[in-house]
Amino acid sequence: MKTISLIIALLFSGSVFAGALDDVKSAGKFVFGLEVGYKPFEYMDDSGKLVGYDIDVSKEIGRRLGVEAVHQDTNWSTVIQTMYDGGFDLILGGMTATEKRFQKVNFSIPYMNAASGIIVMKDSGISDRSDLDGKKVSAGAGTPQLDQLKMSADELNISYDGDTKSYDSDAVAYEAMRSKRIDAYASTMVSLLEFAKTDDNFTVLSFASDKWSQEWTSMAFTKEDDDLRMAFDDAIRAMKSDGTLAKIQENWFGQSFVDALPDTSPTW
Amino acid sequence: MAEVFPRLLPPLWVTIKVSFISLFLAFIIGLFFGSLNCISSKFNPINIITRFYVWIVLCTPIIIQIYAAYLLLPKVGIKLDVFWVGVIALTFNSAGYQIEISRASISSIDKGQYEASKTLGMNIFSSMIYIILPQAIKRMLPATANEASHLIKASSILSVIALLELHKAAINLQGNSFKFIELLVLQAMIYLPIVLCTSYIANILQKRNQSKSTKIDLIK
Repeated sequence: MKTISLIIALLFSGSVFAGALDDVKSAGKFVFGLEVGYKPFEYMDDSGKLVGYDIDVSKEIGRRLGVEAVHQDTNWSTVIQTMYDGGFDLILGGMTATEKRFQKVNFSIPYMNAASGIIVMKDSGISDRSDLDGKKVSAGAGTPQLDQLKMSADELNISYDGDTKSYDSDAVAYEAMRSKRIDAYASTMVSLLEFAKTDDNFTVLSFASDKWSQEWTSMAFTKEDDDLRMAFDDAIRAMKSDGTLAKIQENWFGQSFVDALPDTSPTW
Repeated sequence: MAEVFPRLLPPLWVTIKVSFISLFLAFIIGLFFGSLNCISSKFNPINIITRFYVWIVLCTPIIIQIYAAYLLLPKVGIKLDVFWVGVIALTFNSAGYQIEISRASISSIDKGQYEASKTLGMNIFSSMIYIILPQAIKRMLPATANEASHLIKASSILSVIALLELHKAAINLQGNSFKFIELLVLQAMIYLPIVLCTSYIANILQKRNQSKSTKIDLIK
């Protein structure tokens, strides 16, 4: 009796697992969640069109799966919740794979390097993360850099001036730094470099430590939709081996990070 | 900065639509429950539920109400376009105020009006519809116009649920140009004349009400 019910359960769960990919195929599209305003991953260009690295990657994957890629703008701090509520099939929005997030979602194999960086004003005299002692620091709301700032302080035995502030938008943080409200802002290296290009007064420093692992940008799927994740993994692998991903990266970041990307999805 | 102005016009239309649809729905809900509140005796279930509802709306921040609509509705199986989530959130908020507005206006109508219509053989419902409400609605209008100003401004908070209204569109532009302060000023310059118009209408309505009531006083 037990075996039979187990078989039935397996069959049933099997059909559930087969669901997500079939749903996408039969709908002829997959919907992915992101938050607009994360240059160069996803942002509105001068003509009001959503462009960026993530958009090109999603289109390429859509082409390979034979379906259309549809984006859905959302609030980043509630993005995982909204995916589980059925707002979209996956998150493809420059998400850094972290242990905390892994408790709720499964990650695809990395499609971008997500190393952290710190942006400071050139005249701030900060040249290393140990210089942040006694400075006002900040990071984006709901980003891993918030935790890393704390870890960094514990590791180097330094303390910041006041609480670590979190901003909803990078643009607000840069403005806050211009008006000297904060001394440093941590985010992913590539997005900070993108902004530093537009203003000579800023400089970007590396923010790496043994306390947190090398970080990767992955797509995130619900724990149930593993079949969809595997289909995306295959597409990413194919894009890596035939050079398409490298070409898209060169287009948006000026260089390719493909060779350093691991071939397995981040797990903890 | 002026060259991005045309790109803010479609989102501005979203702002206006979401505010005025919510205002309309909230006005109807407010009028209905406000008059029920005035008709019925003090302790009945409708009164208690309405009081509780108004209490929730007035005592919680609107941003929490917006997040609640966005995150809780899918939990009960209601999956709507984010525009309608915005409408529900703003209506939920505004109806609380509208109930108070209509309750205050209806109870400000002289008791003699009820008595007179009773003498004419009207029951409470027809006296409400034909005698009390036409007068009360006139008194509600200035406060409702104020509520419109409030809603237009409050709709900017819908940016947290990624509704592409005026403020969210400006945030998106910031993500590309990093020109935060310029876009802040530009947004303010767009909101200002619109809210100014609604406040002006509120003022006119207020004055018209006042001049009418003085006329009545003179006739007396």
